[in-house]
Order: sequence, then structure tokens, then C-alpha cells
Amino acid sequence: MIVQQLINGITQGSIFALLAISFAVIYGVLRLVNFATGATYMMGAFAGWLTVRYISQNIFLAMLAGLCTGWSIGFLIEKVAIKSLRGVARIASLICTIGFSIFMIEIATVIFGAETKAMPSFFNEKAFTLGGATVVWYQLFLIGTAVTILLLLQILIFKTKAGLAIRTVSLDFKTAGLMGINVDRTISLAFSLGGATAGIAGVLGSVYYNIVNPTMGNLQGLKSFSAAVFGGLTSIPGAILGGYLLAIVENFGVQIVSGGYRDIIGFVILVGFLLFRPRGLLGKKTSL
Amino acid sequence: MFFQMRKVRKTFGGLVAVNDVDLDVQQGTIHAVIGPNGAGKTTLFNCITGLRRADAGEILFEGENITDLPTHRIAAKGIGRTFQNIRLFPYLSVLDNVKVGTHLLNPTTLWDTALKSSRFRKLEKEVEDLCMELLHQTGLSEKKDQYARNLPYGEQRKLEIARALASKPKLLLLDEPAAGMNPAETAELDDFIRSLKAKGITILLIEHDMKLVMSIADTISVIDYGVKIAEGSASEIQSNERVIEAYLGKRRN
Amino acid sequence: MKKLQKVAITLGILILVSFPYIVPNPYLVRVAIMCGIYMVLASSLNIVIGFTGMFSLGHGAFYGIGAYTSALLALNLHWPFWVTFPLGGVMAALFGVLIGVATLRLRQIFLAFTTLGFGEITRILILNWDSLTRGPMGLPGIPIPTFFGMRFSQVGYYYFILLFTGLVVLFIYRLYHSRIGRAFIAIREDEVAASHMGIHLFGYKTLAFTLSCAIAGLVGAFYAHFARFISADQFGGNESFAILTMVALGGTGSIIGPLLGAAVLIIFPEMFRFLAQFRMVIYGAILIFVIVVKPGGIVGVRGVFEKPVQAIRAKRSHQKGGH
Repeated sequence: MIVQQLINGITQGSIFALLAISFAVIYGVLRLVNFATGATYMMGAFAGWLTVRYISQNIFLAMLAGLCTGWSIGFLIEKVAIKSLRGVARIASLICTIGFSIFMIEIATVIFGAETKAMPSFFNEKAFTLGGATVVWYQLFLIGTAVTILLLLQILIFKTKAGLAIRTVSLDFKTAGLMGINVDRTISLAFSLGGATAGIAGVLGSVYYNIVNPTMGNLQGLKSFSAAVFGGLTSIPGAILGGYLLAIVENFGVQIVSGGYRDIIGFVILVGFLLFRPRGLLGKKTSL
Repeated sequence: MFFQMRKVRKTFGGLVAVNDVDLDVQQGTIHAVIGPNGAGKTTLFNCITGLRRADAGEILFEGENITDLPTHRIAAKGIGRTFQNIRLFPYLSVLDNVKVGTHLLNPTTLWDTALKSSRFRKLEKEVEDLCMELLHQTGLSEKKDQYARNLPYGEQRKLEIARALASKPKLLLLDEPAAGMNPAETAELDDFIRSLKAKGITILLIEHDMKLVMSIADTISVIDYGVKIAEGSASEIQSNERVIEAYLGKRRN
Repeated sequence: MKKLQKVAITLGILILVSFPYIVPNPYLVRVAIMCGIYMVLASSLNIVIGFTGMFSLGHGAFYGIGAYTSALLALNLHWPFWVTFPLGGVMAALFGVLIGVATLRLRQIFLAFTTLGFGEITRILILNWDSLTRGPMGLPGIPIPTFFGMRFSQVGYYYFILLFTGLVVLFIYRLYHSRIGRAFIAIREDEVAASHMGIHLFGYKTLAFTLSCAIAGLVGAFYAHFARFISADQFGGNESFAILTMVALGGTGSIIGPLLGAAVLIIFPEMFRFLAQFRMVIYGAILIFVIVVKPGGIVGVRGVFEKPVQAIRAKRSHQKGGH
């Protein structure tokens, strides 16, 4: 039982971690939360669903569709909500990303309907049993994919020139600009990366939960933000850690409280951390 | 002693911005702090008003230790200030900017406000009169209904002083009040600061305009690289070797 | 006040007071009541967003807490409306203080996300706490308020909400022109400067947020006894977003703006019923469009969306010739 909870936790934690990264990358460069992250996750899932349904029953193609959709949405949001609002207070950008979130959720509802669609399952065979717990291949696939993406992002951020730009901009916006870094392009890149990560997470999540609907991203987005705060919103490893820990805590928490209250656990943790340790487990102390 | 700093220290990372500075300000005087750019003068002010926490040392105001008080409490003790880079409330009217300055003097409660009690009317009237008086003194009364952001630079500086005065401070910190002013405006400022002294307000002043400083300051402290290198009257400072070095660089032998 | 303004206000009040008699159409009176409810909601949210420059996304939840508090007290304990109505506001204010204390010391983003989360949690709690809230079935049969033994007619509801909206707007107007309101706006404009004026930032932010929640709770209590049936989905995220859109459209930071925004966004969908399924799509689009094209909304104060310090710095360097 405990092993099963742990494995489920790690699987769901992979999805949270991807979304938490999406928040952290953008928060890092701009100190701004992209409220449309959950909606981007949902759009990614729909892109995957459309691919699987009308083009090919191929999860890799579906993931590519999710990635491209997420990337484009991130790019577009940056252009409208950030770039066109230069010199305007941040609150305007926040409201704008909320506008995007509502718009995407509702346009999906109008086009696809509010009812839940089934996503076909992939690699659904039993891989092995471990201490009485069943592990299916898809769980391994999901965890593996998530870890690969997280590693790629780490390499991108810590080993490449573009990553250096992102890190510099997160440290100090103005100085980065003075040092010849193209701040605009870096911000745009961060949004696109964040969007792409959320889009892929949408495809992975929709297959795992076997659910595609317009509101599927709402709670995922909220919980992943809690996870990011939990681990430290200013720290990328922190956000990953937060994602996994939150999912594991949730899975064990359900043993104590009844299932209906499951979704509250993340929020209680969020408020607890905001009250007592707002920088999270691994975050830096500066400027919350 | 009216206002005292004891070995106040503030570092940013490896940089020591304020290095064990002692400062005594006598009540009723104009005390200037001068020094080259980046000498740590504004940081010193920020430590006084609680915008920055001093890492070490003590700040005493009227015998009370205010080092660790939050900014709004320090303001309530009677220390007002202006900012080097002007921080007005840009989308409030000129008059309302000054009215915000009276925040501490005004005991209006939420109930007074909701019921528009006679107390509310009386207090609002007093605030209005006080603020208009200050705007007259600073020559801004004509522009009372304009947004603060629409004032020219020199008038924004004056408005900031008026706003600081609205809280009836005992000690007023002025951070480069003459910056960006033309000579005529600076001369006006000279008179105005003297008139504040005449009213019994103690003034601590950061200023680069040496003519102004030498004209009005009773005491001058010179800070370089966060260290106080000299203190004295205008004539003492003008002939001080270390001060000349700091400003002009070391003389070659 | 100018004479013309006085005449206009008097005339407006006269029209509003005689409205149910000029237009004795139950449907239109109902729309007018809904307008009143959302005017109050938008105006109260504006205290937080427009005056104080903070960002709350859970206004629907505080509205819901007021509604459920009043409804449950009336249904289970049979307390009269005149007691449960204020208690709805008190309960919403208590939750407001809790959320405020947790988040208002941090960057405004944390208030935004925590309130968004709080809205979702409130909905989940209402859905799952079957024994108290009847879960997804909602609460039917909420009693009609009585006034000196007479039960409210539709016109009674109309006059109640008219009076209440008037009082709320009057309160906000007085607040705006008081020491407390000036402190709120000073915080919005420049927190550092505000604290140097002796304004206790955390205290005033908490006050603004609590006031806003209390007003939302009060009008929620009224709504429960007006609709007589409430359920969790009436107070979910979309409700919060709708209220936010009203404020943004009408004009953030002004007193008239939210009233205008609420009226437009209540009346417009009634006129274009065939667009009903696009209602929230349109809200989303309005939100993006208004912010990008005219951040102040129809009549708003631009200051809400201005970066104060930068603006002045830019001006200064300009005058100094580019330093």
C-alpha cells in the first residue's frame, strides 16, 4: 500500500514538477506569475487529444503537438501581456494573463464542449510489481519523460548561453540589459519555454488521468503553484522538489482525510509556507 | 543629545556602504552630510528611517533607540524625509500628496469616516488648512489640483518637502533638495530651509551644491567610502586636508 | 459640489426610486436587482485593486461565504434576516483577515494566487461538507426576509438593494476622501514613500482587504435570501473573474467605474441572450482588450497601472539632459 502511494505520488509529482518549473522559469525572469499556466496545460492536452484522435495514435506526436501549442501560447502571452505593457505596472500584466486563462478555458468549452473526453491509454501493460504495488509501463514512461525534460531544462539553463541570459535576467533585470543581454528576447524565451513545458505536461497528464476537458488545468495549475512556493519559487530545483513532495504528501494525506478534501492539502501547505517560510524549502531569502 | 548615531554599519554583500559612522545632531541646527558620489550618504539616511536595517550600531532619537523600529514607527517619532530620486504619489493631486503627509497627526477613525461625524469634518478642515498653508509657503497653492506627476522637477522637490513638513517633524532629512534646481530656485531653497530652522525644525541635509551647504549648514560631516573623515563648521571643512583629498584626489608628491 | 451635479444626482435618485413603478416589469426589476448586487461586488473589489493596488482573485468566495453563512443560520437556527445579514459580512471579513495576514506581507502576486486558491478551496469545501451544506445539491428554501412582519415582495428586494448599494457607494466615496482612503491610495502609488508618512503598510492593506471582503459577504447574504436557492457553483472562479472584469472594464480606481462596468456586463448579456454560451469568452477577451488598449477602463484612474518611480526617474533624466 505504502509503495503504491509512493509510486502514484512520484508519477503525479512529475506532472506537478513540470508545471512548477513553468511557473519558476517565468517568475525567475520577471517576478511575475503566469496565471494562464493551467489553461496552457489544458490546451496542450487538447492538442494531444486532437493529434491522437485525427492524425495518429502516437504519443510522441501528441507530445510534440502539446509542446508546439504550449510554446506558441507562451510566446503569444508574452507579446500581448508583457511586451505591449512595458512601462505599465505589473498588475496589468497579471490581469492580462488572467484574461488569457479565462479566454482559453472558455473558447475550449465552446469548441469542444464541457464534457470530459477520454484519452486513449498508452503502454498500459503491467511492468512489474513491487512490494504488492502494480507499476504500469506508462508510469515509468511518464516519470522518465518528465525527468528527461527537467534534465534538458537544467542543461539549457545552466550550460547554454540562452540559459545564462535567463539566469542573469533573473538576478538583475537592469544590469543584464546594460551588459548587452537582450532582455526582451530572454523574457520571450522564458515564456515560450514555460508554455512548452506546460503543454507537454498537459499531454502526459491527460493520458495518465485519462481525462481531457476545459477545466482540467484549473486545479493542476493551482496545486503546481503551491508546489512551486513549497519548494521555493525562485529556485528551479526547489520547484521540482516541491512538485514531487506535494504529490507524495497528497497521496498519503488522502489516507487521513477523505478523498473529497484531497485538493485542499496543497492549499493548506501553501498558506502554511506563506505564513512561516515564504521563500520555500530551497528558495533564496531575497525579495519575496 | 537630540539625535545620535553610534558606530552604525551597513554592508551590501562585500561592500561596506556605511562604516562605523558616528553622528551627533544638535537640536535646532542645520547639519549637512557631504561626500563624493557613492560615499554612502543615502544609505545612511535609509538606515535612519528604517528603509534599510543597520547591520551594527545604534541610532538614538531624543534618547530613544530607534535602530530596529519599522519605518512607519520611526516616522511617528517625528522624523520626516525627502528622497534623492523624488518619491511623490504621482497620481494623487498636489494637495492630496500633502494631505497624506498629515497621516500621523490625524486621528480620524473608520467610524468617523463612515458616518461623516462632526469630528471627521473638523479634522478634515484642519488638515485642509494646514496643507494649504504649506502649499502657500512653497508657492504651490495655485497648482493644488494637478496630478503631482505633472509638476516640473523643481516643484516636485518643493512638494516633497511640503509633504514631509505636513507631519510636523522634529527632525527633517533632506536628500539632495537642490538637485536639478536652477540658481534662483536654489537661493529660494536657501531661504526656505533657514525659515524651517527658525521654526525650530532640526535639519539633516545631504547636498552636493557646496554653495548652499557652506551658506546654511551649522555643522558639516564629510563621508567618503562609508567613513566619516571630517566634521566641523564650513570654514573648518574648507581647509581640511582629508576633505580636499577626498574631493580632488591625493596630491602627488 | 456644483449645482448641476446636485441636480443630476437628485434626478438619478428619483428615477431609481420610482423605477419599479415606471417599469412594473418583474423581469426588468430582477435585472435591476442583479445590477445592484454586482455594483456592490465590483465596488468592494475596487477597494482592494483600484485603491490599494493589491490583487484579489477570490472575491466570489467571500460573496459565497456571506451567502452560505446567512442561509445556514436562517435555515438551521431560524434566525431572522436582520441578524444573519450582518453575520454574513462578519464571517466573510474573518476569512478575509486570515488570508490577508498570511499573504499581505509578501509581494502582491501571493495575495493573487492565494485568493484564487481560496476561491477554489471554498467551492470544494462547500461541495464536500454534505452534512452542513448538502454538497452539490445546494441549499433550497432560504426564507424570505420580513420587514415589520411583512414579507419582502420583489419591490421590497429592489428597495433594499437600492438602499444598500447607495450606502456602500456613499461609504466608499467618503472613504476615498478621508485619511484612510488617502493611505490606501498612497500605498498603491508608492509603498516606500507611504511608509515614510507613517502609514502602517500591513495594517492598512489588511484593513482594505477586510473591508472589501465584509462588503462582499453582506451582499452575498442578501443574494441568498433573494435567490432563495444557492449552490457552490454560483460562487466559483468564474464569479470572481466576472467581478474582476467589471472593475477592469468600468475603470479601476474610480468610484463610478465599477458601477458602470457592473451595469454594462449585467445588462449587455440580457440584451444579447443568443451570445449566452460566449459570455465568459467575451469576459476573457474584454479583460485582455481593456488592459492592453485602455488600462484604466472606461473612466479609470491610470495611476493604478503606472510604475510610479520609473515614471519620475525618466522625467528627471530627461530634464537633466540624459544622465
